[in-house]
Amino acid sequence: MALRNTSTAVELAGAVFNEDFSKSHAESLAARSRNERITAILARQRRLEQELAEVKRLLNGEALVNTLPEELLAEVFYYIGRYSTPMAEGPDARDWSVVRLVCHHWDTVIYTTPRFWRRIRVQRSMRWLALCLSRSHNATVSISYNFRTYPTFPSPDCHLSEVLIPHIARVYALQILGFDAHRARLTSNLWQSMPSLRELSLRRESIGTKVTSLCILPATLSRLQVLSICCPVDIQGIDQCRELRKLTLQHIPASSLDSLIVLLSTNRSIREVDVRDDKRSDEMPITMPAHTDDTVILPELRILRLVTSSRTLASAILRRYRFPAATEIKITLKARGLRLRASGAQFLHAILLPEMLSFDMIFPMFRRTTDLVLFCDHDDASLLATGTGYRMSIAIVDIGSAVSQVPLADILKMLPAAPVSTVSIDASFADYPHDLYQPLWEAFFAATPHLETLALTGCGADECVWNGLLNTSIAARNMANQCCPRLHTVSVDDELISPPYLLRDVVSSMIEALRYRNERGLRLARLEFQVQDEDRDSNGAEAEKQYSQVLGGLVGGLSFFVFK
Amino acid sequence: MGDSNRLTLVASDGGKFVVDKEVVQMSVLLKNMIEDLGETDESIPIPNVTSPVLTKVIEFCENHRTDAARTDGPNVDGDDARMRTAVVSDWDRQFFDVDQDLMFEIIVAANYLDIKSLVDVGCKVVADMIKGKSPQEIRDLFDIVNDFSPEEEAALRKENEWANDR
Repeated sequence: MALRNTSTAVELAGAVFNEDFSKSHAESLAARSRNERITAILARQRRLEQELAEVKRLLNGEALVNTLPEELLAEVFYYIGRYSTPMAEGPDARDWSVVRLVCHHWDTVIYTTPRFWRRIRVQRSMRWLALCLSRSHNATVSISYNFRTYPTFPSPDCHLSEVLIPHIARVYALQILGFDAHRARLTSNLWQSMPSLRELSLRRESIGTKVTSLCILPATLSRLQVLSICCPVDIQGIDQCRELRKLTLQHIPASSLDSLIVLLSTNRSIREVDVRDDKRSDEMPITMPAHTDDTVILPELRILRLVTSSRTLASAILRRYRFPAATEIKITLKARGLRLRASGAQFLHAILLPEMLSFDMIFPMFRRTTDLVLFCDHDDASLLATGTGYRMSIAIVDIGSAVSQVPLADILKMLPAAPVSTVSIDASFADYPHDLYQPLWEAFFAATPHLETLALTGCGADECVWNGLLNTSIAARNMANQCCPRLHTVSVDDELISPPYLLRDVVSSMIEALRYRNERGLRLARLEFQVQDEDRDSNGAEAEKQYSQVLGGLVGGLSFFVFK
Repeated sequence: MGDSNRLTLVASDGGKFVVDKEVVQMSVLLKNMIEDLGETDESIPIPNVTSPVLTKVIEFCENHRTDAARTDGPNVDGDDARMRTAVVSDWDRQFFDVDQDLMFEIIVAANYLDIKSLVDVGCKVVADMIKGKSPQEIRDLFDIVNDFSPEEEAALRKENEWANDR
């Protein structure tokens, strides 16, 4: 029974085994065939997807925009990249990331066109730099590397060399943001071997630290065309440059500024110079060295911006160089308050009237001046001249609490050379003695035969102006000539409406001058009074009425403008 | 003998256009052709350009004839010089306010005729249409379908992450 039982058990077990085997085999077979089916289905899916993708691409080929040849499509994409200077904000491949996601064809156009990859902005990702360098093929590249966001060490900059070195021969422009002593050491090795480098820009946005880094430009960079250094870096070797077109120096120490004079004389094709320093000067007195015979003409220079505390530098540039083609001149001397009391005019005088030169020899474009603005107050003194195709500003700022004497006499000597039609003078002559002041105005009117509009602020309420106009008109008449025959508008911004003391003296001078000129056919079209609301007292309306009564008939139109 | 200052252009569909030489010479292709031909009364065939397109091209050239001689000055970076002039005037924008098919035909014709200013303006107008839009909005604008696989799209987005220093 037991045997039977055993036998039965074995049989049973065998049966179970056989059954299990058959079942698993069947399942295996089923599974295999299912896998095969799935594989086959997936293969079919892939084929369909590929076919669908092909269909989509064919369809996209029919899109009207894709009828443009690839080079034109690339042109379209190029205009999408935003343009701005400086280079750090210029377009790089990330500006086309959206366009690349539109379709395969567009992605391919961008992917395969080197110029989309030749401007590279890098902050951290060396992979991005490597990718752009690779896709730019053999094109020259412009790299802007921003260290600012990773000031701590170790920083990714240690990989910069590794990635860059294989491509270093085609680096055309290099900008380093967040430049400091560490980066100076790191990058100076790279510069040594950049034969194509033509543009170099070193910047540090925060100049809080006064620590000056040493930066030695290697001789291999003598072919730089654009050099921009805006951080406290002591640049050495800068005078090796011979092909500079654009030079920007800001925040650099005085020792580096000294080489500027040499630099200009060896780069006569330079087109733009922008030099600023951070200091304020207390050099006294203001004197300009005499004219030097070693004159250098910079025929290509269009823009000269010089904001400096160094009168030595300013005067050396003005004495030695000529800028016949300049279109924008800005010279600003920064002073240091009290110690330069009343020196603003001296500075302007020194610049405007070099001992042995006329002003328009230095800046021939001044002969085209049509608009002239002279400003002088407690802090600043400036001359702004504009004419066809040029603009010139000469100023001294931060003079400090002192009223500068207006260098009108200096400017007068330049005026005959220029067809000035609009003059604005914003200055007080209160400290001038009348016996000096009136002849100045006579000389002024005699020197401005093209004058059409005269705006006076702070000096209109003085009879010397009007007596000057009268006397010059009489003198001209005696010479069978006319004084300022085109003068049609005079604007006066002063405390004129505070009677009675000015009303009586000034108005009588006005009346006399206007009446004389009217009799000779030189009637003013407009006489305007600009009155600050705070200067217009309770009798203001009454005063205006009085002015209208006595002056209204002598001019074409009389206006009062009250402003806050 | 016809007017020596004018000549006749013949479009691909036979349309004839009598145009000032000064205007025609904005096309470098036609300018060279005229120089090769010398003084002639013969019409010049423009086989790749239809009458409606040629009408627009001539309209552009006539409007811009005075600035034909204007060229960008020398620049260290030619690309920059071109980008500086990236603003499209109101007239030019109005000129390209046409159906897309005509717009692209004009650009292609300008490219064929080698009228650089017209090519530039056309490309800028199209660029302006694209600027600020998402990929899907651009597809909708130009009847383009998304032909990327999810994997391809992911790869592109990954690359963009590198670009953004992530």
